[in-house]
Amino acid sequence: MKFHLKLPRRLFRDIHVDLHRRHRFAAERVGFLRAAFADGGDQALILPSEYRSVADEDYVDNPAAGASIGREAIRKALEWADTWHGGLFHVHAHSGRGVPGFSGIDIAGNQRLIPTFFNVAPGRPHGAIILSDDAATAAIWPGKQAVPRLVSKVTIVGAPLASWWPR
Amino acid sequence: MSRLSRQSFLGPASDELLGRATVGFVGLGGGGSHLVQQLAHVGIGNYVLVDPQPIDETNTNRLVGGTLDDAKAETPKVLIAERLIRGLEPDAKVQSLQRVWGDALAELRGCDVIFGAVDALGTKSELEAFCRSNLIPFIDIGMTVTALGSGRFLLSGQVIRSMPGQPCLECLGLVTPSKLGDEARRYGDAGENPQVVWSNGVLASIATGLCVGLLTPWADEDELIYLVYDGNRGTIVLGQVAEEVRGEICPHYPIGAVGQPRFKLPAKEIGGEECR
Repeated sequence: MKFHLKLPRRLFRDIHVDLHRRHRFAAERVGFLRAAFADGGDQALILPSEYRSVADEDYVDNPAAGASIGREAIRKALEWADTWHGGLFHVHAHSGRGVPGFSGIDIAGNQRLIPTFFNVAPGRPHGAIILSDDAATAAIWPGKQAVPRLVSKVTIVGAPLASWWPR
Repeated sequence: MSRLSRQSFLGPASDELLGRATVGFVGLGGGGSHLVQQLAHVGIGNYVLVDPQPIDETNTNRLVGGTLDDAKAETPKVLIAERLIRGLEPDAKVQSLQRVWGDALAELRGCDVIFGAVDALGTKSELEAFCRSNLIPFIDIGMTVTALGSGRFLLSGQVIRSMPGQPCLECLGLVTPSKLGDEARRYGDAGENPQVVWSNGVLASIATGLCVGLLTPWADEDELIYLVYDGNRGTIVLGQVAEEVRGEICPHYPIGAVGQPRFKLPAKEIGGEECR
């Protein structure tokens, strides 16, 4: 099954605004997105519902990483996921245009973080999203033990529609 | 020179964007048949065609591509549309679904854009709700013939591009609870709705342009489009009510109200893990 991430343009812009706010010591910001799913025949649609920032005080001062968040940030995110029927996605941004890619640091961090989402919200996919200036990509964990996959299509829903096909 | 070279102003990647797009059509009568024909000319690569009815003789005054032989053979409207597409895009992926749209939900969810070319306000409203919950732009076309008395008639219509998060058909006053109630009370005794080929053609041409403007980056970025057609004067103007609600957040379809709450991935997709 393929996965198709859709992001309303207004939400895309709002997330960018949030992620580009300066932080006292963190070089970049991260956030979390709750998303619903729908059966699109040969594809599953990933449909974002709500975005939430990580609070300033929940970042950890770690010069080795652009953004490190502490246990309290993760606890709040998991609590938020627990009251939701869909999936939870970790979100951050890379600068530049076109489809972004997951860095080695991103992949290692996601391998530790995303499976914990299943502890409170099993039975639905979870994942990680990266935004660029005009596009996005996402990795999906269909199950806690499953191998993560890249979405096959991303659409920024607005006028015009902007569709991207991550490889 | 390619078949599409005369529309290269749509952008250097336009052939690919149009070829990879999936467009859904609900209703393939007078309006929908025009839409399919034009979008096949434009080069759309993937189609979901939904209409439960076969053509009959009374459709042949306006159903583009339908012939008297089709009426005699009671050819499904979806197959007439597919025939039109195949004549222009022989390799297109076409899903011809001769059923009511409520039985084609998964196929329609896979669409980038959905056209509604249906008469009933209730159906327009339900289609829009479906599109909103799946973040799909919805383009509605419709026409009406109103008797003015003394043998005179008013030919009117509308084209609306309804985008997730933007004002909806109810915000624009096209669909309201009182209109839906009136329609429900008239159900079964409305008789045949008058329909003519030229007004459907005008509305479908405008709607085709709005769809191409979504799929390729040549047009402006106005999300909400509400155009009002006066068939007696041959004019199309911006609907005034759209200006009044432009920029407002739609209260009827909150942007976060999306998806299927009970959605489950097939077990084989989740590595054997049990779904709870």
